[in-house]
Amino acid sequence: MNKDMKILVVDDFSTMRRIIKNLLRDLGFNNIVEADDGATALPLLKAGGIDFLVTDWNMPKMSGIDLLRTVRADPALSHIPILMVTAEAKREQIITAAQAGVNGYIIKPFTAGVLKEKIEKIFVRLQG
Amino acid sequence: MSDFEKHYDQHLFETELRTRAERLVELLDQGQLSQAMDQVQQLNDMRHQALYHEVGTLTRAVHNAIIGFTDDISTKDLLRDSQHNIASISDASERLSYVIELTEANAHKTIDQVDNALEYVATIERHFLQRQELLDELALLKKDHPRLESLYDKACVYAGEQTVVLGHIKEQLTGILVAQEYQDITGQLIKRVIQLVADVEDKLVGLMAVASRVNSLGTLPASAGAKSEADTATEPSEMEADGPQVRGRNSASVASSQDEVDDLLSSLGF
Repeated sequence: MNKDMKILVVDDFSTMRRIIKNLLRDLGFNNIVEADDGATALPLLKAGGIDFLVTDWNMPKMSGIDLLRTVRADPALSHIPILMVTAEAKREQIITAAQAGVNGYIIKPFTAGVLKEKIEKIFVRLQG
Repeated sequence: MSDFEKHYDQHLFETELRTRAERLVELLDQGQLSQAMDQVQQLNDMRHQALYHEVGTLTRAVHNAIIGFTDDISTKDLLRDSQHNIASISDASERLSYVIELTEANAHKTIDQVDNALEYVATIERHFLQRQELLDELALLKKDHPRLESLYDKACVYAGEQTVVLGHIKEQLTGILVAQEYQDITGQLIKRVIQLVADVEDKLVGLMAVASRVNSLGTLPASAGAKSEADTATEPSEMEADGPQVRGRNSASVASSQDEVDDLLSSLGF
């Protein structure tokens, strides 16, 4: 796992963005950018250089699931691993996200340990 | 409506039903079928009227509860001076939005302090590296000075303990940080409650509007049995009872639609 990789954190609540950013930093990731919803995240993704995407589901304008689908449908972006961190916990929602091509799914509230474990799992799977 | 009034209305309703039912049996005994059918129709109307009354009372109660959420002024004052005293759903929502803002600001304040504390932890961690260098030097020295052996061992024990405690402090700080995610979850829930309150009143008012239109078409005898609960109540006229048009006119503005809700309810006797 490359600790220098550029991570985009997308959440409409600034507290949650800060928490995730802090936890990522604790895991050794310091190259982090933020966006407050899918609509503001997309230009950042299209500008290039994003190696990993962490997104919420329920956001104004463009939701996380729409962002996920848009990224997967774009040949230039489709390779980016995506981790969803969301309060949406229904079975159907998790299945929908999985079918849309999510790499990991964390239900809020979560712990620092869970975030670490899921990120590591994603990269083990990608390399394997 | 007070419990007494409710009981009283209920009692009247039952007496009326009983009288009509007895009259129905009487008419059937006399073989007056057409008049008996009229009686059935009237019984049916009574049922509609009772339901209409209940929905109206409920709508008024919900509406007043939403207003009461913001102001502690009496219902009668509200009805009399709707222009100045009517608070709106948007006011209630603003209060809830303020809760979101307040918890967010405080969550940030907490995270700021956790960040500062983590900086101190990082400083101590750097000091620990320097401490280790000192210990390494001491380890070299103790080879020539056996008396330093026990000093070195003690220093190592202290160092180990300090490292463990610092690890715990860092863990606790991370715990405080992650605990701030409550703000996201409560915020989302409050946003949903704001929407729910608006929806409930909107649906009830919509129901009243439909009911009043049915009334104005003459299906139900206007205000028969539905006693006015509000002192400002007026008999529903053909114009006022035409609910949906009144509602549709200014639906874009929350504040004015609140007045419309009041006007509509008052016009229908609630």
